[in-house]
Amino acid sequence: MINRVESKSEPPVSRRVALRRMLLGVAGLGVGLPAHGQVPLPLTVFFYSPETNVNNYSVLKAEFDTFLAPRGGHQFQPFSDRETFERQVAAKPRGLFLLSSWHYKQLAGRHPLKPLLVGQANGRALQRHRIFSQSANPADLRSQKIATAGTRDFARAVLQEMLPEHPEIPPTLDILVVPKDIDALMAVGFGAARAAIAAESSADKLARLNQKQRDTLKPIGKGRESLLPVLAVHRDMADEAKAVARLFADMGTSPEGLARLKLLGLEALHELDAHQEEGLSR
Amino acid sequence: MTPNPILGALLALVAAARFLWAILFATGLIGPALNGLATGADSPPAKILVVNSDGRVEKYKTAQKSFRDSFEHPVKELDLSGLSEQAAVRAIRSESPTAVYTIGVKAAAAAGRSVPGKPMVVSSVINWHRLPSAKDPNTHVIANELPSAAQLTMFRYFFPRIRRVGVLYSRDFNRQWMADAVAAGTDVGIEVIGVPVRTGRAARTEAARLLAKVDALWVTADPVVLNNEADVRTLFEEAASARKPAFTYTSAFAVFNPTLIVAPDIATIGRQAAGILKGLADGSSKEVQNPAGSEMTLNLRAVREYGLELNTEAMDSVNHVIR
Repeated sequence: MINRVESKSEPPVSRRVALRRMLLGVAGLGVGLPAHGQVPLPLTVFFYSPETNVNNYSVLKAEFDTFLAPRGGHQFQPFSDRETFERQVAAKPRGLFLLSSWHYKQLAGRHPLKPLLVGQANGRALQRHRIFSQSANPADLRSQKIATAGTRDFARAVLQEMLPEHPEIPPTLDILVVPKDIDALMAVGFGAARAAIAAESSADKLARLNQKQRDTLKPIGKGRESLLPVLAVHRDMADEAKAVARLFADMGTSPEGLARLKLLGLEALHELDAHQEEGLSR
Repeated sequence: MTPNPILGALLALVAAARFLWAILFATGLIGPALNGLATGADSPPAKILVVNSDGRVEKYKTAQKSFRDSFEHPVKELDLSGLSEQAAVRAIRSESPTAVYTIGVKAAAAAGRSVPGKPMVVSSVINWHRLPSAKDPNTHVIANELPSAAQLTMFRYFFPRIRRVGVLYSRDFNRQWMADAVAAGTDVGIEVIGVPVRTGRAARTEAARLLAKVDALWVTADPVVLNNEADVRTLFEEAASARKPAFTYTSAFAVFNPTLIVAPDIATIGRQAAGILKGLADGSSKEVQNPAGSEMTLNLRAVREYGLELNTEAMDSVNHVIR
């Protein structure tokens, strides 16, 4: 059930929630509510992405909170630090997790997570990272600076995957972390890095904006296709998280929801098909 | 298996030599002899000093923290806030650093005087070309603004219908910059129209005339045009009166409500400085780098008021929103 509170006075949902909490306290019940026929308690959506060095946390927090608060009192909590985010996942908070599919695969091995939705951009749920370099010869990358919007861990992982014939090169690379894919790509053109790791779609975007810059970049390594970010939950929270998942699934259909998704580089979130779900479990 | 006495003696000799080397390095007796910086992938430079012009300034703090996190080796840090120029020079000299990272103009100037010739990385300095140490082959620089081509690319990204952008500039300071910007504009389908001015007052007079011919005003880092706060404010007010968007390069101008700010990401600058200093240990030559990261501030109120067509795809790049 989704609660929409339009009034600017004190939201009735908050009063109901407060009353429910009080009753639960009296009853000595410290557990979540059953999903059916009940008003769900507010949940928090925790966000972290090692694939993009998100440096707009204040905007994300403000915009998603503004969207979620009148729809059930839910909150959005972005993280800049992987360890802190992972501690949240381990603590099994009352909430959901919006995270990269690459990170999901790692965490799903340690925690009983269930993917609910997958992001979509340009009509696709998949992306592919590549190395874009000044030189077409991968051997020229040795000991060079490579720019990426991902974390160093992410960069090293995709480098190993993309340069299987040159396993000696990734450890020698000097990784420069920048805020966005397009920064990484332009850093090569402007001499701050010798190569960049970025999504193919970002290079296509650069080509539309500045073909001359794009022409300086030679794609030399190709990663596997991976899913865009997923919205996931601890399995025993799956029922309780349905209302929030529904909200996110509907975001792409309303202008105000879409505006928020665009902040994450997405245009929609959809339920995963069986193939996608299987891919995440591999 | 019987131990080989010759091999044993050799191993003992090697171990003793390594121990002696470690002692000499730890006491600093070897480090400075290695052309100022230690060599080898895992060896930190002997003594890195980070000099902050004013530790109370948020963007300076950000650069310093980012440098520290990225450098991965211990550094000595010095805050010059409250120190006179002479005291700052003495404070840096007394540290006898092997190499220095300076943040802000006060730190760069003081370090240039106190440890001339030492490897130095300079950031957060407007018009860094004017620093006496700028020509020193051991002074490495991270520029304070994104390249004009990067800014223009972002203008195009956010506002695909913007075709003509006007710039007021002084020939004395920015003749070459202007020529580069015009060329870069061609690459992204934006005509950059420059009007040279000699004084801030002239810039204010020319602004209205220029705004009549362009889709947007681009307020760039020009010491003549941006002579004082009143000049800066007037430029943005002229753009608002003409109902034209104003683009600019620094978040310091957010108070004037520009439509789009394309500023360098300060944390990335700190990481770049760390990268340059690490590279010096491997014998890298002089570097002048452009900032590699961007920080975008979008004024949605201005977008609405001026009826601009905004590419919503670009929203994934926005760091701050003015509503």
